[in-house]
Amino acid sequence: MRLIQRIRRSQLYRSVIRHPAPRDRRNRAAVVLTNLVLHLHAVAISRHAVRIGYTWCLGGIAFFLMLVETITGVLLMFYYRPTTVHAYRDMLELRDVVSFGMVREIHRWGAHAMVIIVMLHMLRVFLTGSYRPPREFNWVVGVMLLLLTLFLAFTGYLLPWDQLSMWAVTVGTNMAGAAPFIGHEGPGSAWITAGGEPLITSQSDVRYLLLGASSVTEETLNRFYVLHCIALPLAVFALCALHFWRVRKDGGISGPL
Amino acid sequence: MIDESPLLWPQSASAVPAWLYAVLAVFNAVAALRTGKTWRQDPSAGRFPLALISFGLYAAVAAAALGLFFFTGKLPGLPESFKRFVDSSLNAATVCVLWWGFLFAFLLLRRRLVSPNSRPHVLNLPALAFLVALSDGQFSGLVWQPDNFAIVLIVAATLFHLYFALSSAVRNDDRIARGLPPLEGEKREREKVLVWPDLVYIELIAMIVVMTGLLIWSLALPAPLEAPADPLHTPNPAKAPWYFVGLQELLVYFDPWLAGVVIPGILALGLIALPYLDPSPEGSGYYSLASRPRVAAAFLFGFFGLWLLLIVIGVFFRGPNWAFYGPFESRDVPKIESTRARPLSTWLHAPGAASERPSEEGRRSGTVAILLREWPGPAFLLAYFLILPHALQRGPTRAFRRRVGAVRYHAAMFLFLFMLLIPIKMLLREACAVNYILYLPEWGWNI
Repeated sequence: MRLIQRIRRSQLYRSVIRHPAPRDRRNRAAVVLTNLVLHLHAVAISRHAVRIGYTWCLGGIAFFLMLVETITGVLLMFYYRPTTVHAYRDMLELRDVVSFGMVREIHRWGAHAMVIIVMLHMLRVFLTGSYRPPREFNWVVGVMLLLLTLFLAFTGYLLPWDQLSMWAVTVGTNMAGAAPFIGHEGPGSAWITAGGEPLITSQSDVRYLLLGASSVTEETLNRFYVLHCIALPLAVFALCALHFWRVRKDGGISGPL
Repeated sequence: MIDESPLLWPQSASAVPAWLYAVLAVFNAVAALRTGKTWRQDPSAGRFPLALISFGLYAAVAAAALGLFFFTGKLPGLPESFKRFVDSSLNAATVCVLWWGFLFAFLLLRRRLVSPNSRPHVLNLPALAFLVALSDGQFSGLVWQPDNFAIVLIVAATLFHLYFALSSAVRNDDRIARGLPPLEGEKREREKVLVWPDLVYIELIAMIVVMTGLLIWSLALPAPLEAPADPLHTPNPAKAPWYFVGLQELLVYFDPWLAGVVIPGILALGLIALPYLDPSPEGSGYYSLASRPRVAAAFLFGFFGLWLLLIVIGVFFRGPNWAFYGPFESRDVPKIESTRARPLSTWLHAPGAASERPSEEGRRSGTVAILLREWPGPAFLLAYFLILPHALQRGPTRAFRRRVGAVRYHAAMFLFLFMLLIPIKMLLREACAVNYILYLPEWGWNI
């Protein structure tokens, strides 16, 4: 015990953690106020808001899973190369050669869990009426986060480059080719012409924009890889910051008026 | 190397239901003990709680199944004739109608279902039915396909969550009817507690529980990896990722421009618009149904009755050629489904005639001829989207129309009627053999 107290009094410890142990009211408030992660929370919240049967921790679990996905995703990126030559072989190596060859499982099932939890979180927020004013804008941010989660899962689905992933993404992106006006198989696209020539073809429609080609090829793999690893996670974290900020600014976790 | 002990896992897949029976037995035993403890501690409680006996009985049933497996290596199963009956009586339409009936029965009978005496049955019977069905090789193969397990999980989690949310809603609605505040609004509940330790410890425990579950899931089911991608060999069926299979299933009923683009687009738009169409801050911040019965019914129908149902049908009931297969039916036998369904206009013009596409002649005869041929489609859509909301506002939706004003009313009604168009088209196809309300192959705008 004396050793612990000496550590607590040392310059090194006090440079990192600036307040005494959170054993009394004052220091319990201080730890939440001065800690970067904990200060997402208010110092004190009403008792009903910490009841498990009210929130079921769903929002927090969704964010926790996002962190799990980020960490395991970085580990997977050490071994994975998004080219048609390497992608599938790297999958086999991740399974058979790499130590603790379970990271891909955690990443994949974590992604499925995240989709499930985000949907349930939306259900919970709906059933408690928490989308109503003054929280309506935060509900909109939440819907955006749900869509981003689905798109993140979808772009990641292609990366193993096996039959399952390639054809699932083919089926999914074929729908984009049927978009009215802007998809080459969609209704109305034949009406958009320039000098008699059709403007919307399989080389210029919205599916081409998504795939980087007119079918699922290496260009698609690269495009989805960049979206999956950089663009979409950045967007998710930015919107999460806004989402959490607005929870606080709109009056904390919802409760009766 | 296969281990000889049947209870070791994952070497023996048939041991999985046995483990689940064990979990069920423990869960029921704990629930029985907790019920008994609350009863003993509460002096005002009257008769001996029936729930205690029910939980105890379910614990005994699950333990008996486990014992049977331990001594004989077999688990309780279903007779073949019953499986064949289920397979032959199910099709897309019956699954939908059963599911919707179940959802509305659940909502209407909620007061009865959440009472302490029925709680053991509501929680146990679905679990037991699932476990008994797992004894079938075909069914368990379908469930344990690695990517499919997520759908089992989401259905179970949503049911579980919905059940407890409805319990809270019934409790609050009863309190409000008696003139009390909802439980979340009680004075004691409104008092502040410190986030450290009251919330951070819950968060820590939640993280540990989630991570443990995720690790068990990852140890038990390997991530799927099939043959290398090959653009020349299309698998049959080629399925989208499970969260988009619902949209793929819609392709049976709608053309791709609707199923893949317009319907999901309007779905996202409707979700975003929800708080602006129903803007009253009353009744927020606690579980309740009585304070928002209509919007809740609409939302739950969309979430449960369409989004989740279509995923379940697409994942579990669709086999090669996207044909419908029963839960115990082998996917190795290829089926080709034929349908009598044809456009509404052809039914009206030539009842009984089997004209599938308009003739070349009809195609050349210009816009007027097409519109004359297709008059029932626009007439139906006009009546549905324009006249119906106007007619309704004189009756059932009058109060809503007064409260939110014309713009919000019509936007909300459009979104709601658009959502209802999905079950309407499903039933039109399955029950009335109509596949298109509006059929314009010349231009591609089929609805």
